[in-house]
Amino acid sequence: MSLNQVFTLLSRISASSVLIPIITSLFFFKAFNSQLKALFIYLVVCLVTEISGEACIYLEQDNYAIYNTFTLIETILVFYIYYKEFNLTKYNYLFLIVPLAILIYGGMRFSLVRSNNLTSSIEAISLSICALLYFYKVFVDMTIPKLTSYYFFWINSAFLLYFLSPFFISLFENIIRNSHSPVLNYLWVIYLFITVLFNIVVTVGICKIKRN
Amino acid sequence: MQNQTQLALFIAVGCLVMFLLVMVIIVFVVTYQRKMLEKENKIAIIQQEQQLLFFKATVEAEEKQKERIANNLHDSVNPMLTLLKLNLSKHRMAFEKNKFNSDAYKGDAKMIDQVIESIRATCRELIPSFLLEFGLILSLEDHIKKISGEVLSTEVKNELPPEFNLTLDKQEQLLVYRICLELINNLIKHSGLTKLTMLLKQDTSFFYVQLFYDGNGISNEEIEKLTETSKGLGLRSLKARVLILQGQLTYEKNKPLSSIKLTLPLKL
Repeated sequence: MSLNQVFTLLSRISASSVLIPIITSLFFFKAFNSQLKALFIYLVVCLVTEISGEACIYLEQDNYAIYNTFTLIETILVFYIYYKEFNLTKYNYLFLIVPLAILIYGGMRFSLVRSNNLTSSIEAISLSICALLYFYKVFVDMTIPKLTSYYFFWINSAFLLYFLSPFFISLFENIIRNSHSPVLNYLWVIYLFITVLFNIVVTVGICKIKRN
Repeated sequence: MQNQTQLALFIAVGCLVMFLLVMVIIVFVVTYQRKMLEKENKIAIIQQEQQLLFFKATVEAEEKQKERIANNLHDSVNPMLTLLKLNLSKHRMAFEKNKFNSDAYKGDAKMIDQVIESIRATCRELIPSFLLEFGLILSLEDHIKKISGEVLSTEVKNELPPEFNLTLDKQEQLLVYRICLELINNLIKHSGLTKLTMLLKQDTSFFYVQLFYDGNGISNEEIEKLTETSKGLGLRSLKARVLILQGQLTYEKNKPLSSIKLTLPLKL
């Protein structure tokens, strides 16, 4: 099996792994609140993006527009999920201002022919900060008796891993792309592995939701 | 070649960062659970201490009551009985000498009535006879009516259904009665109230006694602080009694009327 074939196979596994949390969600859907419904929509958007991206490659079309749009939708949905979880009274407006700023910036830099790396980097940093702040809040509040039994701990861990990964990749992507090296594939393997890990950890989180 | 080395370095750094991130999350969970265990232990110790304090307050209140009864018997009943004993021997001697004084005898008979009344008063203090005879609701209503006067106007609003059946035994009813009396006494002593309304009501699982009053109100936080800092037994024994009944006292400070709500679970 050539390196390209391995890469394609891993890409397919990574893309279809999003089906695991989606199918699991269907079993728990009755117990979903608005936050979890947003997560479900996010997972469906991920699946649609993967399928559309693959379709564009098959049709030999550029898929940058799809991924750039996905970044913007992702910003709205994930910030909403964190907004619901933090439930702040004092700094709630930050969950409106930050995604709005990212959306405006992303909209201005929106392109059909190239990847919007800077926007996804800013988005990844902001959401990584959200994830870290959540851990800080949990540690200060100390209100969850068993952390591993609480669904959002897993979802937050998944987001932390997932957003730090593309942040690193997008940070070095231009250098890597310019190098035209086959080693680039290995870097994407890490990203694909993280995506699978993200979907598994999110599934664990969904399984921790108490059904009514 | 240099680019390839650079890329390999990026991948290595990427892997390392991810590995560290997973490790950080694991360490976080372990630290959190350890801290949570410490917190739970602390709470358990505090609860134990509080229970001990409540128990001490209850025992002290009982001792104080015994002391009061002993003083009552010693200071009023005992001298009267001693005097009666002395007078009886005087009457016997007078009778033997045919000098019996019927007026003095009648005076002593009155003294016996006083002794009986004094013992009755002590018994009433222990368990109000009215409560035993008519139950908690009527006793509370009677007490509220009794304290009404020129300075204080009182009212009872009984919203309990006619078929209401208080599922408390006599001992528990006595506790509720004492709680209400203590609350009313505290209000009279400290709030400077001129108007007091007692509301009795129930829902599917709780029985409520709510006291509405004007004057200086007190909030839950303030009463909590006062209970902790106060050297007296009143507030602590009040808390202990409510705890025994598995009830709850809620203090609300409002204008023009503040309130104290006693919530008791109904046994089904």
